[in-house]
Amino acid sequence: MIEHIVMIAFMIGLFILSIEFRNLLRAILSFAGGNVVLSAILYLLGAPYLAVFQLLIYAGAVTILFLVTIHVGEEREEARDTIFTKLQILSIIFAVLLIAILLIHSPRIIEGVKAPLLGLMSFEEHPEFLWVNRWLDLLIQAFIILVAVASISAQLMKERREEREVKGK
Amino acid sequence: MNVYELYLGASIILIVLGLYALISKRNLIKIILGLEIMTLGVNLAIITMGVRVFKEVYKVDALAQSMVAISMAVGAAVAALALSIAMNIYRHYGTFDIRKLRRLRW
Repeated sequence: MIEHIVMIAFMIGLFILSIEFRNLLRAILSFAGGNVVLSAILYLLGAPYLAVFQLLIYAGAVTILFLVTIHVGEEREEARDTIFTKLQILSIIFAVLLIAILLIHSPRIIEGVKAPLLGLMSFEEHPEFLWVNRWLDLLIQAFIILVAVASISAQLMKERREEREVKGK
Repeated sequence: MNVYELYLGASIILIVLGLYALISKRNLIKIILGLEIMTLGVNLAIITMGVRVFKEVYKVDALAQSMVAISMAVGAAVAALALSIAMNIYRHYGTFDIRKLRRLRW
């Protein structure tokens, strides 16, 4: 029982921080952290698939949406004439490589995600029916989380650079 | 205190927290965060109602799981829509502050 209480305390604390932080980036990161703890709670309660969904949808996709929104908000105030930075060029090369690898392996991937032939059956006998061959979904969502991590680190780097510039002046 | 009381209490706290953000905050992003926190509280309450304990092993009812899975997808869609509206508001008014949105002409 103690682990449940600790998890709940962590989750509520992170959600309170996400509402009370003045810095929007920190607020969104706290929200993502709260979602990670909530997904751990769902796992503890015996709902592992929901835990994965929680992690992927809320801690991944929704967090990215929030980050994109605040990024667009900041972009308006900046000059738009910046050229590609090293990081952007690296990310483009990485994305092209990733697409190439996925295209090369696409026949095998398509073969892997085909639904198996099943006879008449009930969901009660085979509750795993909905969840077999979902690895491609999980892979794509994992990539989305990777992108989220990269975007968060890029935002933090930018923020630190700006702080350093302000201190320098 | 059993697991039902504990998690129902937590879900009520989350719902109240979301409501507080909706009422008191003036930043659109914070308001959408509050909305999402409320959704999470409701999801946690549904899950809690579906928890069954067998010899100290927790299991969640399949119906509750499927309901929450659908609710998560809907919550993500609501967040996407709300954020796109917030983005348009920022482009139009140059701020996320709802006090500045008195002139709702597009």
